Amino acid sequence: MRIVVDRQICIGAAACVIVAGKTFQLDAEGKAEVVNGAAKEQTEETSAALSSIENDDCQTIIDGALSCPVNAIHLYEDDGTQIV
Amino acid sequence: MPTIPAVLRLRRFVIEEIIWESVNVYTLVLIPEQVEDAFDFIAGQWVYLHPLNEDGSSWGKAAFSIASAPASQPGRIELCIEIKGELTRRASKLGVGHVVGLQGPFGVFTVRSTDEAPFLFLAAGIGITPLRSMIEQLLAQGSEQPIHLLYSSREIESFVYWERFEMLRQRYPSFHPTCTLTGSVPAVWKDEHGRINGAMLDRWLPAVSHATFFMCGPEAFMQDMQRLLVERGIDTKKQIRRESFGS
Repeated sequence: MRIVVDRQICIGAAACVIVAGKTFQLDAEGKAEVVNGAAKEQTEETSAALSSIENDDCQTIIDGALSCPVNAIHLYEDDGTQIV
Repeated sequence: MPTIPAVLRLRRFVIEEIIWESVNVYTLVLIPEQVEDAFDFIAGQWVYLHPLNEDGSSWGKAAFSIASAPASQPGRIELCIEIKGELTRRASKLGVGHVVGLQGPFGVFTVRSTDEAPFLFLAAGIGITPLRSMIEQLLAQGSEQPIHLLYSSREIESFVYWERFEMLRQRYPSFHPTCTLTGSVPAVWKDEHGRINGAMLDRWLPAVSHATFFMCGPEAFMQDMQRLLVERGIDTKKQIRRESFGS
């Protein structure tokens, strides 16, 4: 599973940080990123393999993604199926 | 079974009052239905408002900044809502005694203990909402640090909470609100006129190098303000805090 934060869409509302604070944090620009996630890609997204995330359970991460007011966070199964 | 995070629990609040601030902006005054529905928040945070179906389930949700200050009345929440789309129209047709759902609080657009005074607030239109909460909280806490507000609106009829700010200005010498009208100006108008530009900012900014700016408004306004402040040597990362709206 993968977490993708679309930085173009993110407005830094920080709902994900409050719901799943062990998974999401705000970076220096005030945009969401994945804690200890993969290095930012060259695209305008930041993403990480869900298996690399510790402490927050899957449901909390899903809740964190769903709490985003602008739908900037997407979760995918290993086969590419979109969960959120 | 996983526990629902407290901020995602759908809390039931009763509409105590609906105050029309302008032709398309209203304030919902909400009180918790039960003691356990109440929650603490920090000035500047936001919540999801859920109009409810008859069975108590959520009809839909949208995010709104809390307009009231935590210190104003424990448990009481005021939401300032501009009619834009079906949910806000639906909520405007609710009446006193109706119940809505709230989730939250969310957000980190708040005054921090490390923020340096003076506090300078820049707002356009409905962006005044979280700033009202922060300003009233600072004043209620007895802050004697200078608090400046520069508030832009198209017409005088669209100024939300201006009477409150006038009252606060008279009560608290440390509070300095200024407003600017970008549209037509009444004959008796004494404040600023036109969009906020460099000259207006220079008149308004106190002559200090250390300050924290809080800004909220439409994206074009935010970009303009950020550019003007950067041109004046303000450190974007350390001194500017911003809250954007989703579209």
